[in-house]
Amino acid sequence: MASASTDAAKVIKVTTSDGIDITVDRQVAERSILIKNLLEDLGGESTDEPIPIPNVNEAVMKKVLEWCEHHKADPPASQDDDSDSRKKSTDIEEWDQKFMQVDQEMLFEIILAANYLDIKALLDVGCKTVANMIKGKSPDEIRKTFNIQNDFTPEEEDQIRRENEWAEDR
Amino acid sequence: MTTQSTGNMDETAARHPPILRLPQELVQTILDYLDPADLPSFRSTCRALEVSSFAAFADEFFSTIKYDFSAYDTEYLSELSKQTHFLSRVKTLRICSTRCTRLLDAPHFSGQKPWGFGYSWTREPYRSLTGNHAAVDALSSLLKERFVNCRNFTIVNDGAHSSANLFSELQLTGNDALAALLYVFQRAEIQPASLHMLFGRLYNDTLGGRLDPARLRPFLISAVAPLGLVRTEGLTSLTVDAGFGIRLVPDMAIVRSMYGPIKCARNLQHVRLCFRSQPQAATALLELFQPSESILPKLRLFELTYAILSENVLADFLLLIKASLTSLALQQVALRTGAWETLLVHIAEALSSLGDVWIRYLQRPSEVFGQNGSTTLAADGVACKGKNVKSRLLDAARSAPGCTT
Repeated sequence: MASASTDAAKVIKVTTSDGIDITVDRQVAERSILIKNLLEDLGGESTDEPIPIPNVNEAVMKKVLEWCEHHKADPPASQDDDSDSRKKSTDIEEWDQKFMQVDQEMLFEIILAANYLDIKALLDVGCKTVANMIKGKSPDEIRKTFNIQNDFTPEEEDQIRRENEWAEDR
Repeated sequence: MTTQSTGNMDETAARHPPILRLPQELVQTILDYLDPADLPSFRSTCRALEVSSFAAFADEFFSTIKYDFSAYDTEYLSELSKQTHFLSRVKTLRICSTRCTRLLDAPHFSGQKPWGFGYSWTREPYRSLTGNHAAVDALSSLLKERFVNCRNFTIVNDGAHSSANLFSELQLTGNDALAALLYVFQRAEIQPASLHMLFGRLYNDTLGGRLDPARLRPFLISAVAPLGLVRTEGLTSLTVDAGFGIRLVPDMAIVRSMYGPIKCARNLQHVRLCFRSQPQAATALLELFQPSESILPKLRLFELTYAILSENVLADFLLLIKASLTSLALQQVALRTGAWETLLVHIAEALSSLGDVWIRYLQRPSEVFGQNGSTTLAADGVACKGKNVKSRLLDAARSAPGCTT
């Protein structure tokens, strides 16, 4: 009996925004600081109640949990990493690069989910992936990449171009 | 069910690209990973991204403005001041003597108008700053009336040189620039919030041999002398980085010039002093503080680099600032008398509010500069943050050298 209840504490359930229950190892789910804090707030009580995650649907949640599963044994990130925000590296490890090879809809859903679930390392991988899609591109190439419509008036475009020229000189 | 939902997502995506659904703070996280050179392209894509990247763009390119009192730079500032959305973003004016030299040619733009101002260049040397009242007047009114957040000033006075004519005709017009800036402070009634003064750093040993000290000395003395005129009541941050060129200036000249500013600087929170070539000047400077117990009541961060002092001078100084000090850095510091062993214990016991310590100490004054004036990085020391600062300092004291007399 004792061992059964220990096992039970090792798995938890989450309910996604589309009403699907997903069972997941507690250690994996706790990569999410949001879930970790929720579980801690519940105390030691083993609960069968699923945790509602109203902002993330099943498809995205499964993808996020796949990342958490792969990274479940990663050491916690140190807090002092990002003191020099402008010097951040955009290197992404190979597994994460492959993981992020998804359509843009999913990519941005993962970023929003990582932000909501408070999974900093996943959020960083997502943002780095987007940054790498922007780097070195002209405005037109960025628009094409992200399917953005140019909604500037000619006067606004002129103003932006002038400001960019000033910036180049400084 | 799932297929249906994905189909809807695609239609939405076509109308509203997913990147535009990110909240501002996530766009900012992405921007943090971009090179500054990518920001202009990014903001040129559409209105929404222009708005969400404006702060990053403005802070990257317009928070610090280089200025050299030339007509070109004055025109630039004046045009920028008409762009009201940039006004509050300009925080720091950086004046660099290598740009101020009258011997350098102005940059040449072959037929191209810089920034589209309609301002065209002729290839002529900069005028001397002396008597350049138009630039001083213009800067005074721009700082007073337009750039009201620009209260941080960096003065880089490394002397004039050009790659073709290295130091052969030495003119430190950076001195003129400093004098002009002090005049601007008075005229516009500006109290700087921070002053970062970097002097003589180009005169390292490679170049030093080619210079004539007799010609150089008066220029360097007048480089440090005007510091005494700075009003420092509003100053919260002060950096003095005296480079190798200052080796030719009597140390008391530096110290005297610092006396006035430091005596008035009751709001200083950060002080960084670096005496690359005159480490013995540090003693005289710290001794200035001794008569007054209430000096620097708000000082939180103190950094001293390249210094030779007596243990008791440093210990007494630290006692004066112990109430407010949370961050202490001593780098390449050697004790003329006394021992690190006792000094570290003193710091651990007396400075209870310290939360951040970085100490790299040298055992003998002769190590501050080795043969031919070169420096070696001190290997011994202690670096720690947080709650265990006291115990780490006491640990370090146990392994520190004893009295070296």
